[in-house]
Amino acid sequence: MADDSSQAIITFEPDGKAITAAQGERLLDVATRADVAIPSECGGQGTCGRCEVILHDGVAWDVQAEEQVAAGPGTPLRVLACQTTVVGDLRVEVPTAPRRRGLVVLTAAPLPDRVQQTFLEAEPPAALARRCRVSLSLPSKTDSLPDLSRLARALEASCAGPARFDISLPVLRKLPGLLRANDFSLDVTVADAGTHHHIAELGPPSQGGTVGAAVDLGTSTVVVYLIDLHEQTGIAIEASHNAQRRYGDDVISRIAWAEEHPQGTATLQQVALDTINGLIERAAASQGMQTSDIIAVTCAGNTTMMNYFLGIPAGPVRKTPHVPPAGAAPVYSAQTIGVEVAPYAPVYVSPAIAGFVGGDISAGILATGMAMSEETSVLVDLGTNGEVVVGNRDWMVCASCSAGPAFEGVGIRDATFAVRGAVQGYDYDAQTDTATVATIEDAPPVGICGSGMIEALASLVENEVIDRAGQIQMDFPSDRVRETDEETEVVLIRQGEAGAERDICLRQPDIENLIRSKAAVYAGLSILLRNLGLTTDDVQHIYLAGGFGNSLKVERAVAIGMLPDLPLERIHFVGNSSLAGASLALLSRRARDELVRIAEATTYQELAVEAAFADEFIASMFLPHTDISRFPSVVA
Amino acid sequence: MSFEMPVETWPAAVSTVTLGATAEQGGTRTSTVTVGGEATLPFLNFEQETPNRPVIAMEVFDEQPSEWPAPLEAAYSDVWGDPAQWAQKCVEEYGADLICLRLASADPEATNASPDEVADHVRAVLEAVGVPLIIWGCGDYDKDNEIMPVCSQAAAGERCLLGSAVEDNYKTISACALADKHVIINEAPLDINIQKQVTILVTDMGVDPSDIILYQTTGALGYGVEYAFSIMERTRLAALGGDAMLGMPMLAVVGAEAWRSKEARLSDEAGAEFGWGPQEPRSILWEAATATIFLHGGCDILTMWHPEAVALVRRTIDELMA
Amino acid sequence: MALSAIEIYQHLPKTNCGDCGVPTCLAFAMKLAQKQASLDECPHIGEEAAAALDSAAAPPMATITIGDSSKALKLGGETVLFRHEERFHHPCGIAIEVSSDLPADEVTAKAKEINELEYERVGDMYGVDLVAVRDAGNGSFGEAARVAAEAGDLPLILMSDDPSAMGAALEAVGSGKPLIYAATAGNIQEMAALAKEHSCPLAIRAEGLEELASLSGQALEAGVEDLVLDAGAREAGQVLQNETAIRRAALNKKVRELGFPTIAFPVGDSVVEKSLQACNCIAKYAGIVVVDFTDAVGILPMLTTRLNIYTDPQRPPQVPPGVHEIGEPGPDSPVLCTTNFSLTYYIVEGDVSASKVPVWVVVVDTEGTSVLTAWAAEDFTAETIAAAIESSGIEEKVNHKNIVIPGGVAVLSGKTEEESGWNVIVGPRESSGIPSFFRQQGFS
Repeated sequence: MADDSSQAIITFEPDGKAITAAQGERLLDVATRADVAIPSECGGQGTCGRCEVILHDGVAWDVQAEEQVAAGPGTPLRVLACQTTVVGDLRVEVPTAPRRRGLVVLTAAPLPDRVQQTFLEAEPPAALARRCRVSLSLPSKTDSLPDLSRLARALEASCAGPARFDISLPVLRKLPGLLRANDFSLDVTVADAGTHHHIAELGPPSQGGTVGAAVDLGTSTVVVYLIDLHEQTGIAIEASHNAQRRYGDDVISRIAWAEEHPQGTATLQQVALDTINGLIERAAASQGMQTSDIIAVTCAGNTTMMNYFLGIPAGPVRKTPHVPPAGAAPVYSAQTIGVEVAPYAPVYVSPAIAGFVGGDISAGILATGMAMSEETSVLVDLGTNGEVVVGNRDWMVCASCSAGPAFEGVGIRDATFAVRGAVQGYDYDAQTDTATVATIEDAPPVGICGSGMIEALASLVENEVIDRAGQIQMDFPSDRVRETDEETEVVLIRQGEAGAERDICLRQPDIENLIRSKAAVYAGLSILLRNLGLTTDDVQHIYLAGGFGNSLKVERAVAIGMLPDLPLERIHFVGNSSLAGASLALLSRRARDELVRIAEATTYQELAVEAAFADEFIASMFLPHTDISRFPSVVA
Repeated sequence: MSFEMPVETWPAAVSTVTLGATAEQGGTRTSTVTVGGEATLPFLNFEQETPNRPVIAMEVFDEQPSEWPAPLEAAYSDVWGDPAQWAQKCVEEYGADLICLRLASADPEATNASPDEVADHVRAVLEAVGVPLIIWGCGDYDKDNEIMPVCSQAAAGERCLLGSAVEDNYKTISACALADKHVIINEAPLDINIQKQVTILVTDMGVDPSDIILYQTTGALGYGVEYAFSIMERTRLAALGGDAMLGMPMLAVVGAEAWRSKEARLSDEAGAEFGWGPQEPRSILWEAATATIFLHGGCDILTMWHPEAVALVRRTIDELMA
Repeated sequence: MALSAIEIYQHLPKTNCGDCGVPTCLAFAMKLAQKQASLDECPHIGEEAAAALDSAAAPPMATITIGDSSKALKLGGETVLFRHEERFHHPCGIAIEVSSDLPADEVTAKAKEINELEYERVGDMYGVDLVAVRDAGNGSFGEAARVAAEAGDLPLILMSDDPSAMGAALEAVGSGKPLIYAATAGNIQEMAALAKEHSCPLAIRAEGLEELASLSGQALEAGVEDLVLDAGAREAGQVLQNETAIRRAALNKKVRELGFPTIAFPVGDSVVEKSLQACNCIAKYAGIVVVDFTDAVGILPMLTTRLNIYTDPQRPPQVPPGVHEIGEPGPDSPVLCTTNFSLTYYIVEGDVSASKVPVWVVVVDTEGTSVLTAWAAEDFTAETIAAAIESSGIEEKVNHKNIVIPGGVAVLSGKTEEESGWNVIVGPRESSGIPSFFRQQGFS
């Protein structure tokens, strides 16, 4: 015990991670520093109750009650981590929230052939930044062109795209010396700045490779993917929670927090950058690279995330009519923004479509190739929010459907992100009362992720463990159905089953959350189609995107009525399409041009204002749907 | 020019539901009431005759209501301590097609009568009148789950209409209806989809679609009546279009809703402040007008309070049926 | 048949130029399909495309105007049979009769009374729309029309089957664009000529639908384009069937002769019976109802039925912001706060009523959105709640400063206390938790 000192040792269970903390520091902040994930939906306001932890053997300060609280041996104490501050040494048990164990987040399913051909195989793909080896003709009496013009002339021949070049003064100052020291042969790093090329850096010829980073900046999860720009191959991937989560689980909470705190925007920017930089560092280290070897960055995220990434206050997104402060942004240098790679590296941000449909969706549209196809397709992105896009190469419409983050595990007690051990496949057999479980990397189950939730829900209703309204049937003949002090719940996986260390359950409110989320997605899609005068039969492909699992039996998403009942060969689970789009943008000038076209030409529909949406939403809050005739394959 | 009547054809019809069972049918009712069966929109006789006229159920409370306005007090104060006498008055003096018995005494916030006590009220009313009965719980779902099985049993075989099944208690009510051969009211909070969901849940329990009546929490003239009206229209259109899960006759709670409104409750003096005219005709017309709108929505059973409003609406039904 | 957004889009320039005020051609097409925009807002539409799109958009029922004052009444233009399909556009006109056999000063007095008949409902005033002067055949129709017109701004219906009496009345008041009632099989040519001469709308009364369509066709041929239809029936059942047949013929069969608003005359033995029948007519398609009484008891339900039936079902219904009372609250009663979305408010009201605890409710203007939606859009915040407390005057009504906010926005509690100086109690997340919440808090 650190008696008189103002420092205390806080140990987090069951990890056993110990960290020193100052008296008065909030447990939630201590946990964040210790890299122990504790969920919080209200941004640490003490209202959501999600950050509940169990104290053992020690005292702490209850902020709300303004009194000291004590936990003795055998008398643990449940408190909110955001409303409790450090007094002395303490053991803190993080009860049910699955702890981070290295996220496994897929980039995407293989890119469609057409996408591959158009953006990567066509001549020349033109990465966001290139390192060109140029050998200039030596000046002579008949050719006394200035050094800079000489360089431009050489670059024009080797760089596709705009013929205009610019160069910063510090770089220009290095030009004459470098040219003459290297026999007029140089490595020039050229960034594609959209309207012109930017000579970002000059150096002597070297054998160094060129690597770019594609970033998917999600509300809950951040993924960094390092790509060899020359070989067009991925070389490392890292993912983690977005550390902004401590300021709220959804974008609205974060905007609210930022608006209410001085330096709120700056704080959110810095926290996002810390997350991204940490991942870049980790990814580079895994390949024995320096972060300064990374010469280009693309980033896709929702509109709020992108604005905070750039340090722009995102307040207007929240307020009707939900205007994005910046939709598309110019290409800035990594140094300007604060991304820790080569300081001159261009950073390209995937352009947003609207306040609630961001550059992650533009990227998804790009990666699925739906904007190039004459066939009408649907993209459903199941992230922290749900977005739906309908369109083809002629037109494109999108909407945000406030699905809520249930499939990302928020508001679901035994949920986890797509981590090792996450239950991503589930099937229950009432006959034998057994569960068939598939986990990521076949590790013992630690919690359930989005794809597992979809399959579990389908399986429970199919076996009549829950009714079609989602009510747990208390008379179901298995002890998997039980009533705790607060709630009824279904034990999906019993302790010991498939190696689980504890029971993994869906509680009644979890089920309701999931039904609400799936209903919002389906209702959004239905109303979008209806407003266009289309039916689901007009839809040739449905792409279901999201980082909520590595695999999904799409027929289970149909069985719960999340997706329309179309022939299964038309439904494709495409994983993290936002990251796939960001990767394409890193590699291909045409992809970047296409992103701009997509963002400009996609029509945003505000669904919240439509009475019909509310109506369809309620109709969809049933398994699979109130109008069963829309789901013939499920009934049969 | 020659004019052609714009007749529409509908692929389906509303189901036909008979309430009450006579001695031959295993009950003790002296009359039964049949509703539903419409194959077109309300009263469009040029398209299809209306097979069964809408009916009026008069409401009887199993204990004296508190704070009833003067016009209702004038009509019922002589009988409102005794549900059997009250029911008798409604049938014999006012010609009620059926009686809707409200088991208000069971309300845990009020008298909190026991299941056996309220079952006695059910028996007493069944003995006092020969028309079919609607038996409606107190609205507290936990308590209704206790009293309804007992009351249902007390009326076993009478083919009463039991109110009401919602997502929280549909199992209890469905089990009662199945065991004791009753019909159930399936309730939804002004939402056509939830209505349909409850129907699906109830039929999943084994209740026959022809043993179900639909009910949306209603609203009065001036107080959201248009929601219920439009939902009724949509429900009827869905029924005629072949949606079996919405293809049942509909019920509206008129009396309780209309008499909650300021227009019905304000006394002569208080109403004069707004230039509204005397309370008695004002309140009666408010109840009747509310009922009329629901008739146009496609409602088959109206539960009402004031005898003169009942008489007015009955005349309107006559005229619309003509 | 209405075109879908995609079908409309195929006719647009597909340039996404934004000159129409929306960012993309498809967005514009979707607005057109939902009738929220008109084609002429696109400056680049080609003639061929305009023709293709216009014919699809031609209105099946004419819109006509009675009167030329600020109180002129627009009728018709309806596009649907059921209000939930879109909305009803022009509320039914309510008319009250004055007979021409009254002395002139009584006609004036009655017409004035009709003009001034108004009732307040949730902050808005509602009144009747038309004065109907009925020819009693005593030769004073023109004079009665004149004094009725002078008594106020409400437009007139001139009711006479006698073309010469009608001619005299129109000489006196025709410039005010009254409705001529009625052309019949016996007088259609004369009445149509009068309507044309004075540019007034013309009502047609027939015996049945077939004759109605035929007379309407004759009026159209005579060049009268603004018509009002009366198929002659007066019994409630037949009126309903006629009204339905006319609306269906106009909308579904595009029968031009019947593509006009209607007029109905409720009958009955008493004010109460006539009013009830008027409500019948208003509920089902009548364009105008004419009654012969001014009693509030009868008029009030008619105005309210009309208000309800013609409420736009797409627009979020709202209750007025400010303090509302549930039960009879006193200075000790709890104060709740919620948004002005009607459904939110009525659900709260229902649950509070069930608790039998009288309360004050401070309703915050959130433009008709629910609690969480309003919070997300920053319409329901510590600031707006504090402002609503302040402007509502609740402070003078109670002897405490405790306000209950919805549990869904518990996050606002601290800030609201700061902004308002009131003590904030966090209520249940769902309104259904109110009764047990009150019990826990010891409210009674």
